[in-house]
Amino acid sequence: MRLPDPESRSTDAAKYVAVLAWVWVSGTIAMYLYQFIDLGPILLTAFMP
Amino acid sequence: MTACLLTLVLSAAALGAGATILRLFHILPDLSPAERCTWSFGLGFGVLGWLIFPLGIAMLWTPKIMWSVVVTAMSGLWFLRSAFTGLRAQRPSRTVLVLLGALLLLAFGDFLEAVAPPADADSMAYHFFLPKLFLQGQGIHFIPRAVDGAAPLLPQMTYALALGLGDELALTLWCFVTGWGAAAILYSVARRYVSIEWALAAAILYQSTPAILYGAGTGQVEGRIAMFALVAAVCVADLWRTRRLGFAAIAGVAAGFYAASKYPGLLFAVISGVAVILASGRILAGAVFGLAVIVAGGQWYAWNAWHTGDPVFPLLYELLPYHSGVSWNDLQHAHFKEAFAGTEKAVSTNLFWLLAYPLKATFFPAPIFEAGRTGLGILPILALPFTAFGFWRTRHQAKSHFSLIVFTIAVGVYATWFLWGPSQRVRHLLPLLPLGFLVGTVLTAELPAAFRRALAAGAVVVLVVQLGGQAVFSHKYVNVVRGKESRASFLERNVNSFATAQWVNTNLSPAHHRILVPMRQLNYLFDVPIFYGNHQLQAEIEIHRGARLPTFWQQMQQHGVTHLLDNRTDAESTSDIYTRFIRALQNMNCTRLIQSIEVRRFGSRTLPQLEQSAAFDEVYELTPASCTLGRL
Repeated sequence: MRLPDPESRSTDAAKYVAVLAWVWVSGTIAMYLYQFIDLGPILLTAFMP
Repeated sequence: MTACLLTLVLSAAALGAGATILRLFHILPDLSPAERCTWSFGLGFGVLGWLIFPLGIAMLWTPKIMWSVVVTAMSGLWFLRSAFTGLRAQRPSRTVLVLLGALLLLAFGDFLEAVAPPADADSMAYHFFLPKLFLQGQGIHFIPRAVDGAAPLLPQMTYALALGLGDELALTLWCFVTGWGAAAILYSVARRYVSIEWALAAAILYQSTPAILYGAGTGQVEGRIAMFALVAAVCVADLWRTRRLGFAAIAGVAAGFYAASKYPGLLFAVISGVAVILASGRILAGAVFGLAVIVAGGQWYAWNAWHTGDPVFPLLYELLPYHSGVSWNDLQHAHFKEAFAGTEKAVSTNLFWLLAYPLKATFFPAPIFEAGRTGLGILPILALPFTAFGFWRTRHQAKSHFSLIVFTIAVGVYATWFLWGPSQRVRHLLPLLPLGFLVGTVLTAELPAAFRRALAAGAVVVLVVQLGGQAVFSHKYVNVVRGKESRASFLERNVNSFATAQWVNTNLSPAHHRILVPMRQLNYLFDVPIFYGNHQLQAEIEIHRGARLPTFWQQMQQHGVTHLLDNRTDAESTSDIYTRFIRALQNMNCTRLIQSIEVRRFGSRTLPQLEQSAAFDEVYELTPASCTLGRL
């Protein structure tokens, strides 16, 4: 089986794969950062004297 | 200034020692100039520790002899002269300049940490404490304490070199420099296949990983062991490419140094050994590798076996006969096993969790994983599908085979560690992280532009987040480095119960007193002799479940203990038995409370707001003259 090449704009599949890559990147980063959401207020005051 | 100079000299010694080893096995011509330097530094770090060990057990740790080791090692710099000939300056691209800016920010934060006093608990407990203790006696003596006493201590030998020839600042600066070694090796090896931009980005992303920010600047060894893991794995891949036994030997030396630094290094050596045989198709290569592992890594295991009969004391207690007089027994062993079995693992060791553990550790970490603010970051998971796609696209190219070998070693070590290792702390996987970064970089650099853009955008966000983490982590060092905060004030803010160490140093005499301390984080700070009485790890003074009070009393007398420290509110380090013993001794006029000290406790040095409390530590004096214990 050949994977669609996202370089090629000729197929919808290639576009879907490229979109999937962006969804994966943003999704994993968001999920990772979510665990630190409680630290937000503390981090905001971390640099205060 | 002197500390900076000494750090440079030690770095030169490491470069020279490593270059000598690479020259010995005729590997230098196969490496790029950058690789010659970075590999030399990584291997030389191990060689220095290896050379210092026999001098330590011979009680020859004098400045003169230590200098002779350093100067001899520096002579190997001659073999690196070819790395510096014909160098030409290139005009850096805008991306390289931005990346260098990020690198400087990162290095500046690490430098602040290096200039500030050490405060990490594990470093105070043994990474820095043991070199300090050994230097006081001009050599190494055996400590029958599991995990952090009778353990492989190769990196700590180099710490002794820095502390012995310099001071505390030289020690922390040495940790700063060696903490960057793995990133440098990662960069130089990645340059074989990718552009400066990608290699530099990989090195910076690796160096800003939370676990590295947290541990590489301290005395913790994982960030330094990563140098050995990287060199060993790449050597196995090069062995497959060239079929040259020299690579098997260097892989063995590096894997041996890993084993000489931490017990999980044994798993790494076994997996790498299998990979050597499979990659070369020759048993001879496996024999060369094995011999190199034994020579480079066998010192500490022989040292343990010599003193106890168990090379991995006390893990084989139930299988091997121990020498008579070894301070370990059935009750202590049961207590040790129970303590570790109950606290070091949060998920079952089965095939499901073998696959799911990385996801859980990244997104929903259990506290024992130590994976949240001090974990391996998001990049390994984020880059995984891109790496798989990159592997598919390059499956017929040499770099794919190179990556497959490195990746297989990393996965093999991870699987054996997860299924049979004693702990699930992600920190133990840190030495494998640069292997993953290397493979990810090599395989994703030539992905189609749409993929590359998504991955690069993700990497930029991750880098910004991690640099933010570095800023939060490092800002606590600013005032002490600028001289606006005293050493004592800084340690008060960063070390649990620091006030207790201050009181003990002021009120007890180094010549006449010895205090039993149940917690670890003050060990390095005491000027008075201590006995580190961890209830789980040692049986010289028995405080385990089922221990007897008369034995406890007698053992304290044998070890010259004159005072006891009780920190009941620190449940992790103080057992109920210990507290009960103190109360019983008090009732029998064997001890008396001489000081109660108000101390600060907190869960995080970087974010103390998360969890902090006030508590009291108590200092007791032993009063044998009035003791009624023996008369009962």
